[in-house]
Amino acid sequence: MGLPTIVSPYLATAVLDGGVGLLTSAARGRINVMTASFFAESSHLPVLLRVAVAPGTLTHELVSESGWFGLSVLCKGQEEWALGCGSGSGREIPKFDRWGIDYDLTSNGVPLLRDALTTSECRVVARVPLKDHTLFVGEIVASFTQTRRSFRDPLLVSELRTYVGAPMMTAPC
Amino acid sequence: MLIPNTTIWHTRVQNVDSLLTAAGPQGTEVYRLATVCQVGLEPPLVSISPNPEYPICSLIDKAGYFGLNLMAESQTAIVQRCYGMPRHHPDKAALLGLRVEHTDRGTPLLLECVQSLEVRVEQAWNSGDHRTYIGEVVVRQPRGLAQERSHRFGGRTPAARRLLKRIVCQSGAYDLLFRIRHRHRPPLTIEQGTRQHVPSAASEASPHSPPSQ
Repeated sequence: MGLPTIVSPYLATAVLDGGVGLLTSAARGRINVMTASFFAESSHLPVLLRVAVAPGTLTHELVSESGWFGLSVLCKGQEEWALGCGSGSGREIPKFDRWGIDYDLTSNGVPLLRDALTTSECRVVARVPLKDHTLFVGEIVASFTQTRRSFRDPLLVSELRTYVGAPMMTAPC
Repeated sequence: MLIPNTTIWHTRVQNVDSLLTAAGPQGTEVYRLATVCQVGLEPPLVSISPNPEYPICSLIDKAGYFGLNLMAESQTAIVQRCYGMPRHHPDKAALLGLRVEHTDRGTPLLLECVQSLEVRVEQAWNSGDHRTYIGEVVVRQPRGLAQERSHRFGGRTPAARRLLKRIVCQSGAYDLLFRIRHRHRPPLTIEQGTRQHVPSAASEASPHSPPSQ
């Protein structure tokens, strides 16, 4: 299966380097996975992280409805998942099937990936509307590391750019 | 095999190191930060979550701006020295030997790094034991180390250590160790394990209070 030829605007215009992950969600029997790079830790105690999601996406709809999401950090070697799940809508493409991504549903109905570097189940504790995204703050209720991959470094946006041959965005503004 | 993560650092959501800068009354305040991410494309918005026990938060609250300086892979020594700095030193940039320039609004930006951003604060709220800021990038200045790789959280793993870890992980020895360990001692929850590393924060955590729900 070929990789998408259109580079995501997130990859093309991001101003920061950082990790790349897959954001998973489910509600009303629908399930989705999308690439995310707008995430970070928010607090040690309680154990919080935050992730920004564009309104209008299926993930935004499912997370808003269920109040839960999964965040799986990818590592080097998982570039195709990052690119594949970052293009096309989950409304049109069954991305888990298309990209052969295995998962298990938690008791809270959150899809957690079996083969990412780490995978975390998060309960939404706050949502903050921003200009073109919504910030979901999630409390991590469970988290796991895949030991087969744990020696690898997390995949970075800059490495994904190198992988697709996109230039680094370093123009001043 | 999936093994439970028992601290927030095991989740690997902290990926790259930046130095946060703000103007203080007697110099430049510097804070090492691994809790940064972008949260908007147009306009470019970024978000940070520093520890409010450090003086940089009150300086940012007062100025309404902060500097965000992305560090390069070769700057491990500087990043590590940030850990050992006295929390209330009045000019941490001078203590670290960092050269800075000031923007028109007085925000200090580092001259030696991958890139420096000046960010105007738009929202801020206490989130657990940290304080979250959302801000718009108003100045973006690539620096001399722009072609270097980003400084990974925790620094680069030495090749020999990485090889050893790879062998242990892929041989199944790592899984076996965890099975034996967890048979005798069930793993802590992520909240319990994290609490063991931040005991002071446990008693001082503020309630989560975002600006809107």
